[in-house]
Amino acid sequence: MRYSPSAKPHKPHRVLHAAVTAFTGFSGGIVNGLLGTGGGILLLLSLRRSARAQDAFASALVCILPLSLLSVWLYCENGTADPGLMFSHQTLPYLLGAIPGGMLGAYLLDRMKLSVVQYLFAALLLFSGWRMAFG
Amino acid sequence: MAILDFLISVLVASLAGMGIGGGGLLVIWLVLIREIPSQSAQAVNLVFFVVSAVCALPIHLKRRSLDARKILFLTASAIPGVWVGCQLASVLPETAARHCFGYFLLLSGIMQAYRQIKAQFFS
Repeated sequence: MRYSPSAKPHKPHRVLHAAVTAFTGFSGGIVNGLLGTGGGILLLLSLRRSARAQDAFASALVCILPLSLLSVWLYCENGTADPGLMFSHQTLPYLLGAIPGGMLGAYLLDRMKLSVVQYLFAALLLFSGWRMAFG
Repeated sequence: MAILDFLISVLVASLAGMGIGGGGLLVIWLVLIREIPSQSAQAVNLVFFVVSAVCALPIHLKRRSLDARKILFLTASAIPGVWVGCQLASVLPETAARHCFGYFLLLSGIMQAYRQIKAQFFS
């Protein structure tokens, strides 16, 4: 993992920037806890202000991973979902497919045209928004 | 049947592995096609996302330039938020919150598409 060599802003700006970042992270966490999904989008909006698009998408994935692990634990702890079903033969094809799929996605991110990735992202935002607002 | 599930999973996981998310596509497949209860489908979707993300992670760490400090800061800020959100879930009507966030996503999607079209065709 490399650090991006961005120029440091003046101190008052750094404090404001840190406050905005913390607020965005906290809001993303609230959305994830409340709705079980969607927090990553808020984190992505914050990450995209200071990074290359592909780096921002990858960073959002890294941020949301521990939150998803926490949500899985909360789902099991609260009895919202049956851990027996989550790791059963019924879900095995999905979990097996997630292994090559995840690697393929990471591999394709640099190889696809950025505009295609951006349109895909817009389409998924519209689809998720439609499903939440009217579904 | 299992092969079709596997292929769908590879497709959705590749979107998740890119970091653009799966838009809950797997939940729809599980609920509408496989008739799994919605709550269980969401839990399966979460585990599915964790597996995809863990598999994508080494490639992202190797190829991308990630701002480790910002990632840690954002994640650390988000964790108490998850706890607050879980507490709010028992007080706030979930449908209203879901609808509000849905409109926000729709607006973000329109802005994203507009910015991309403008950058591609009008600049």
